[in-house]
Amino acid sequence: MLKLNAWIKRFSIPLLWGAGILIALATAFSHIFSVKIVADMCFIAAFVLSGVPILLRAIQALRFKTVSIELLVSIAAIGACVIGEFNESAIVTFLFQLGSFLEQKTMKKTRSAIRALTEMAPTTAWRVLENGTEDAFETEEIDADEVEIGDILLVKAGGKISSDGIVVKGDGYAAEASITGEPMAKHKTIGDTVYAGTILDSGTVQMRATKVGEDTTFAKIIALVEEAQDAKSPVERFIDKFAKYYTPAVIAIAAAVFIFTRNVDTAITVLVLACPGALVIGAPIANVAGIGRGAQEGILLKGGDSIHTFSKTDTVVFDKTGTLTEGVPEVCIQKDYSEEANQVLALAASVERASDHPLANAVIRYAADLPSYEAESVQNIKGCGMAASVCGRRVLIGTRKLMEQNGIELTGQVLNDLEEVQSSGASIALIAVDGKIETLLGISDTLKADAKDGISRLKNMGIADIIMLTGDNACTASAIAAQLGITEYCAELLPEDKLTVIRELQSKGRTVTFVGDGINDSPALAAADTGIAMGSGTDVAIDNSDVVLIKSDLKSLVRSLKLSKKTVLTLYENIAIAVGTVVLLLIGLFAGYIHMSIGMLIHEASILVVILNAMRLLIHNKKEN
Amino acid sequence: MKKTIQMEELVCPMCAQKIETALQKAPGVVSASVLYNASKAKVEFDETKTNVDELVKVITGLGYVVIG
Repeated sequence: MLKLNAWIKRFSIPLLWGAGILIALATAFSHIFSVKIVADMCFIAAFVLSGVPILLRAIQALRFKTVSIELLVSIAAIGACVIGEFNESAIVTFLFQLGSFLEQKTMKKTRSAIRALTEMAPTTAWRVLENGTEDAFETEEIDADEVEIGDILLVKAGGKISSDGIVVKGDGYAAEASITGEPMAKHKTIGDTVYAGTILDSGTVQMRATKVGEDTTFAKIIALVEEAQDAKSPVERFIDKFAKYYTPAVIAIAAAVFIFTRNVDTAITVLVLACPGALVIGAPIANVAGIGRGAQEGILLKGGDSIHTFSKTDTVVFDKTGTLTEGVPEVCIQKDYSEEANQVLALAASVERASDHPLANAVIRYAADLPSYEAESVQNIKGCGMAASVCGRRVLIGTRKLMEQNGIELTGQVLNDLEEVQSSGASIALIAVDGKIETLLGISDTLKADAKDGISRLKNMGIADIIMLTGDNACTASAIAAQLGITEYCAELLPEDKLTVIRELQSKGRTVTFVGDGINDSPALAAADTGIAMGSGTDVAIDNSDVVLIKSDLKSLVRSLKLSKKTVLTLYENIAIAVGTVVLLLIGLFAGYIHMSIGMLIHEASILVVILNAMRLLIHNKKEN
Repeated sequence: MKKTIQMEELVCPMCAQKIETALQKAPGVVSASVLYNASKAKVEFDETKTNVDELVKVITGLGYVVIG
């Protein structure tokens, strides 16, 4: 039987054609030449060609204790044969096979979004051999699977990067669309991380492999998406259970119809019409399409369950840093009280180079274009700032307290500015040179460019509550919340407090989505109904969240919510189409309009309709961006 | 040892179930799962008792084509 099976699979298309031609011949013989016996012979032959494969599949399913749709069709077709309706048997089985064939083709298309992603997997790599020198080295081409951690690999322009790694030599531009969905190529130079599956657009680099094979970010994304497609939502699980009892129930109903009406024709027609084909396929195909579409855009949805819950979100909680703000403090305000502003800044930055404090780094970046000097006798005054001599001048940089401790006078102007900058939520750095305050810097975490727009779009989509959580002080929090149009915020929180906030919201019956940057957020990500990790493909984030946004912007958050809602809508549409078709067909049958073959035609059409409906999720629409 | 085997497009959930059951029953296999939509079989097996070729044979024996 296995051999027969393999043979049928190999010749499925010629078999289908054969059955189709035989049916055409049979119709010609019966209607044009009125030779019934030849016509029936052709119908029987066609029935064998398309019926045997169906019967085989039905028997295989029975071995797994499953009453399949194929069994319903087999019984119906054999029943039709028994009562001499050979044409019905032939047409029904042919249509069923034709339907399966088209279903296969369209399914393939729907799954292609992810197939396209997997095809970007690297196949070979150029390993730099150890015997060469710095400039004269040799390479060998190896299989991408053979790359080991620590190998030095050569990537030339146009080449595919075969493992995650760090650039050790050269530079170039890498197109990372397969990982981030970002169309612009990124500049990569020594020390930068490159990812497997991305392409070096221009330049030549040598890289050291740090993650290989299934551990690369690319491989993890693919594995996640592939498993997500098979992860079922509650609705799907319900349908699966339903179908398990429904299919045998249809046989019972058909039997009952036969007992009461004594009409074999009606009984077997029930079998065909009540096939749950579109119902069984409608829900999963919507998820497959939705997940595939997301993967193309750097949105990883972890299965039907996640999509379902996410689409019902009514409260979005943000962990401020890294989601709404860049997470890197920058100098955003500068007030000068002297004529030599640049020189003061250059002196201050020279002092700050001795520190690795985030605020010091902000000042250094801010003064990057200015000359730098040697700082002597540097003092680090913990929690207050720094002091040093630079170019023979005494430089102090730090808080108001540092100035007061050193007996430096704060003029009315400085005090005014202090208050103003503090109320905007920024941290303060005062710079004093030779005992006089020369400059005041306001340093704060900058908002992401699209944060405000994203928040208002979420509100427009019906998210009732948007709440911002932060470990920062209340002053900074309120300033940032006000800029974004967020009314609710909680400041000075410890990581465990974030968890408490989420639990409280949930106990009030809210469906909570928590958005974090994936670092230190694991408990909150796990506790929320939907945990979203933004802007990182780190392992922890992928494991603990329901949605992973590879791009770190609010636009993809809004997009992912839209996509989830659309996927769920498509799923329900498909269920409605499937159930509606069966109900209408049954009504039609008992009203006397529907016969077996026309019923089968409509039934197969409904399967194609649900697949095509799901495929709409894959269509790129400019308006969506 | 773990191995992922890519098969030709699986068209019915029954196919996936069939392959999964057959692999699970094959000697030396610790665990096996078939991803229906991705048409992939993920198998964990004892290298001393079986090998990839044997596993591929199980799948081709059922009439499915193994791609890689």
